[in-house]
Amino acid sequence: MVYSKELEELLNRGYRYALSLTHNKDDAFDLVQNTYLKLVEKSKPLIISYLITTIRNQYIDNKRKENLRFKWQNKKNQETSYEPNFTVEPFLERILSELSPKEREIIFLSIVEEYTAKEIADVMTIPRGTILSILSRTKQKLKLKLKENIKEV
Amino acid sequence: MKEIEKQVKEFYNSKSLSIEQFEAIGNGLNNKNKQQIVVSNILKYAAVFIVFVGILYSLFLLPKQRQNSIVNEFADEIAFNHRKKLPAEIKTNNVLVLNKKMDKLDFEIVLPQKISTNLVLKGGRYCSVDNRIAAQLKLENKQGKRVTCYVFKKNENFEFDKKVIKDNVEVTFWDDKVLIFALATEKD
Repeated sequence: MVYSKELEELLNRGYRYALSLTHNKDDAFDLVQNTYLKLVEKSKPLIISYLITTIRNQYIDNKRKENLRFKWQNKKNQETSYEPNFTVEPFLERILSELSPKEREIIFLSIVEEYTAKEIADVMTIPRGTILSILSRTKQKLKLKLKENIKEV
Repeated sequence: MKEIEKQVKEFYNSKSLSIEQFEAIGNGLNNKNKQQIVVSNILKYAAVFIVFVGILYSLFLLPKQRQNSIVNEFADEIAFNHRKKLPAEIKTNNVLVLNKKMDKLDFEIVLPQKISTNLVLKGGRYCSVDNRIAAQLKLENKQGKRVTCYVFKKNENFEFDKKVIKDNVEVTFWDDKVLIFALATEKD
């Protein structure tokens, strides 16, 4: 791998996006690694929009496989058996873990990647109106949690 | 609202891949590259081998198979005609007479040495092999055994030099570049 500052930044952005989807460090790393290898193997452009779309597709693909495996093994859904492995930011980690992957993804793309609602809608292939509504609802939810936390403290 | 956005941004921006993880990605890429090189080399050699076998087949085996099939078809027809034992339409022991009387032939009958020295001409008749007009020469060997020689124009660009046995009839082929000769006789 030809190491460069740009590549490092690109992979870190991909990793953060993968974190927003999985909310798990190891899964996020696997996701970004597999996606990067896939892109290089297929000589695809190494740009953030492509990386994000491919990570997303890979994540959905993994989820489908997991669901099939869970159904076959007749085990409970992974969402309910989720155990985060973050050790820092316990408050944020907790409230983000309480969001659905879809809410986390929208929040991440909007706040961290600073995507517009239209851009998020394109990535997630859902209507812009739905994005705006989920975004507003999720921000309210986060605000409420923050207030609760301040009260507790 | 701004506060929570700031915290979310800081939360995610504080996450980054470790040096070990970068190395692992790089190692994964190297391993994948090595595997790809091995696989692509195998594929390359396999493709070259297949092309080589294909060339060999089309250069040597395919023409040989076609030749054998043509000779076998001729032998079938000649053996069938030979077994019909049709009488000579022109009875003569002179090839010049035959040439004169069989004026519909688009070639001149010549008696090759292997016929003229061992066999006696008894006559001839028109015939056809592979829809080509042919001369059927009635011959006899020294023991008085019936032998038929089929002579027709050669259209093929390969050498006829083969002996084929069809239903107890031995058919021996040869050519002189212009004509094909096929000698048919019952096998003892």
